[in-house]
Amino acid sequence: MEILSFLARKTGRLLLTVLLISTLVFFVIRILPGDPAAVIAGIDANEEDIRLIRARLGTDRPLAGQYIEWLKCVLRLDFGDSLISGQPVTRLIMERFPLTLSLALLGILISVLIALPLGVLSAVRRWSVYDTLGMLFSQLGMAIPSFWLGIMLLLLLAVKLRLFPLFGSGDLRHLILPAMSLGVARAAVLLRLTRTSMVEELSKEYVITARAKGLTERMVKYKHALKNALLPVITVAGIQLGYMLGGAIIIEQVFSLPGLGRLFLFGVYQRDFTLIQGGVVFVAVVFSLINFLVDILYSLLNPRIRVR
Amino acid sequence: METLLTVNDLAVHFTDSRRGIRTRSEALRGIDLHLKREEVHALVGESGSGKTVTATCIMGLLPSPPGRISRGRILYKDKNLLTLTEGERRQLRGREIAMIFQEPARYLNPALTAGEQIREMVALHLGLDRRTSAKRALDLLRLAGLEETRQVYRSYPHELSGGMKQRAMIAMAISCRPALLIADEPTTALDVTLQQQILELLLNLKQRLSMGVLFISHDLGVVDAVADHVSVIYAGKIVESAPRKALFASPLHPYTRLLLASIPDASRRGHRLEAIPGTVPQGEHIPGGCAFHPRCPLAEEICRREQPASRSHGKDGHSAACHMIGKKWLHLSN
Amino acid sequence: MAPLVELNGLVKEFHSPGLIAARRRSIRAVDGVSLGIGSDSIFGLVGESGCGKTSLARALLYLDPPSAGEVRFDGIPLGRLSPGALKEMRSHMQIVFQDPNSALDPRLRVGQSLEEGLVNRRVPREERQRRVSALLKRVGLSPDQRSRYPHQFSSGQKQRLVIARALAVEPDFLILDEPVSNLDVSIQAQIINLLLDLKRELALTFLFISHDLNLVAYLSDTIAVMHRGRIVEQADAEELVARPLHPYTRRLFASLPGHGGLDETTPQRDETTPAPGGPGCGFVPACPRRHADCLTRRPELTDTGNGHLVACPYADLSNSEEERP
Repeated sequence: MEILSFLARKTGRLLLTVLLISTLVFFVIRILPGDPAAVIAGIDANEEDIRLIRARLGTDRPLAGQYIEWLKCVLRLDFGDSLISGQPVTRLIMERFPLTLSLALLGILISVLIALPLGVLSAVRRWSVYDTLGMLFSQLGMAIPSFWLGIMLLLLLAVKLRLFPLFGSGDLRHLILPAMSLGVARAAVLLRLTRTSMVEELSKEYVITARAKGLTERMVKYKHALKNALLPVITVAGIQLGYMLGGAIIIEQVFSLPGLGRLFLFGVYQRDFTLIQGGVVFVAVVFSLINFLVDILYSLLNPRIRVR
Repeated sequence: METLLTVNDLAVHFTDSRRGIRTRSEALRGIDLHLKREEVHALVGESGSGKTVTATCIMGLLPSPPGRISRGRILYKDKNLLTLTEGERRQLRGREIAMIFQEPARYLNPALTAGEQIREMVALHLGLDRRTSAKRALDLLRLAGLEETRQVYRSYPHELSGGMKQRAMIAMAISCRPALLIADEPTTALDVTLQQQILELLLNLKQRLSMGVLFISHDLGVVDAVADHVSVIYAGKIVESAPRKALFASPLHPYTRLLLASIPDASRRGHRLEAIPGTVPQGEHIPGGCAFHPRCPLAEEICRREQPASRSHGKDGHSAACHMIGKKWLHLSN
Repeated sequence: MAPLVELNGLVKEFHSPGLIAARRRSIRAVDGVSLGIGSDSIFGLVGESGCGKTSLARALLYLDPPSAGEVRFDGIPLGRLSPGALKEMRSHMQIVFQDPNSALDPRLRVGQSLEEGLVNRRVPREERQRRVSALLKRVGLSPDQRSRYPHQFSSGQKQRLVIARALAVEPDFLILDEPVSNLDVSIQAQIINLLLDLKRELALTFLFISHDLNLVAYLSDTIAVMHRGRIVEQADAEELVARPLHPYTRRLFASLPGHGGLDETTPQRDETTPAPGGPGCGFVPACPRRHADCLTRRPELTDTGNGHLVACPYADLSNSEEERP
């Protein structure tokens, strides 16, 4: 029963976030000075065109009415049509979402695969060669911009060595390089966090007990300490995944991937209001959903949070 | 009864390099202990006296960069633990020499159930499969005085009360029938009524499993209730060692006597407590000669110059390290 | 003579949060406590962890205002005072807590910590300096140490500083909540002696709270035993020590190390205790003398003669041998 109330609370929070974001998006666009219809129509437009556009946007109706209309649309996941291409915004987003999702998941996977083992190694063999290398890697990873890395990888592996394709989005091979660019930068942060967390856990009293019980060092480190050390790492990894799902705009540009990032970027360039509206809400929902899942995962791993 | 543990002249120091300055602090300056099966030997001292370091050394868990054993032997069943490899020591830990700690909340892993923490030990040391080791864990919880064993097995430490946690820790420690049990302030964090239950449980188990218990405490009242033999440690040295009755009836060392006289209870109503002036010296600033001399009402010149050796007095293994034994006390109410 | 501090039916409830009213649980940490502390005396309150003694102390000082009941200081009910008057009253009542390490702000020099109360009361600078020096000397420290930080002192010295700070505003009444529990034995005696000296010199009244029965028995003039939010027994110290009547008090005495082994009053296992504040007597799960109506009828404190109060209708007033600790 307690678990149900826990889930209910988390879901409630999720819905509330979505509501708030939708409201914020709605008002921001309408409160900004200037008539969106006029902006869309352009400088040379005449009154008739502007009025038509306004009718299409629905901005000629009273504010409260518009808001209700907006909320209804959000619930139906119908964000209207793109002002530029005329296609339904929802469809545009959904077409590109799988790519972005794959990219993000692959990116996180790579970063976790790099960060966890290296982080644990650094913690366990503190001040050794491995630790120094790990810290160096972490510093570099945080300093290097991911797009630079992306371009370098492209040059080296795609152009020079022809190991990977240059652009396109057909299959997995197209995703490896961009995922690596994303992943390495994230790995740098996760590695440091893993190391710190692991070091802290290893200095706790229950580790003394574990050793006093005669457990092997392996059991002490991995079964006992690591399990606790992973908690903050998982939280941060989850948040990073959330960011990536919003579309890694720069990487998508570098690798010419038709993902969400590029879609939204062009939407902004072209002042495609409906697309931007829909996009913002979508990203917010996805991000909240990820946080929700991370919360659940966290509570699974940390028994203390679970029921209370 | 078989002698399980003999500690000879154990000395431990810690080095600390801070800002280029190396400081060395003496945690233990040559202590001797002995323990037989079915005997409870209490090691009494205040914080910083070295009692926990002693336990850590016997377990072989002294963190070796800052800590180092300067000299001495720790003989367990005639094997010198200090000459064993880490692998050999690990085999003994938990299996033959076990330890329970002061604050079970901190010393239990919060991410594993109580039952699992017991089961893994039994499975490892006794080579049992999952089902058998789980059953054994349940039996051990019952032995430790818990009734809802299944419930406790499945619970995480934070879901258990203080007493239940401590019993779980005891179940863990005795799980492989160790010969030697080290109890480091096991009841200090517990309420008085719980304290009594846990002490009785320990004594019970001691008999049942024929263990020798090294009981570390700062509480003389508790020591009086459980110990067979008592050693008093001050600034890394044993200043007095005697069978329990003798220590409480006729303490020899001034520190012991002052300690006993400073404990309040109903019978002392109306009388001022004998407070020992000053504080326990810490590892880097141990006074020369007899470490206690700056605080000792009986101190004389020789106490400043020369460290007193431990000498036997009377029969029955009562020894004390003091130059002034036999000197008359003036106002001490003992 | 009227008591200096008087508690009448003091109740302190805590509510656990919950969206739905039905799921909100309230715990009565203090469940109807009435007592009087005479001027110049030491009132000892003894109880195990969770019995509500700290909540009582905080409610008494209106640090967490009580949920019900009244507190009178020198005859004046604190609940009726305006915030300004209450603040003024506070300079008469101070508290010393258990952990000296967390009681002092690590970022302030100890001199600053000590004079905080004086600054609040707009005492001029020179006077403050003078008083801080005097305080440091009185608790056995040197006035030059005023510019040091807390971490530079030992635990025992920190506790002295905490006591000095409490005395800065010249209170008449001092609550001491486990003031020596965290200290080494040899330091405990020093602090106890210091407290007794100060009490004598400054004509203070103490409420001494502790789980250590021996200590309370040594110090107090009157002892009250607290269990699950209620006072279960209260008497002059010597009387209580000689004739403990309530089954819980007897169990406390019997549990003191060295007072004999298992007897009728010792339960064989942990009590799984329901939250305090329910009907009936809180000691039922572990009481060897329980009767059927103990579950429903709340025992009231009754005088068994010469001021010895007990909250148990089945207490053994004859103090027969079989149960004497």
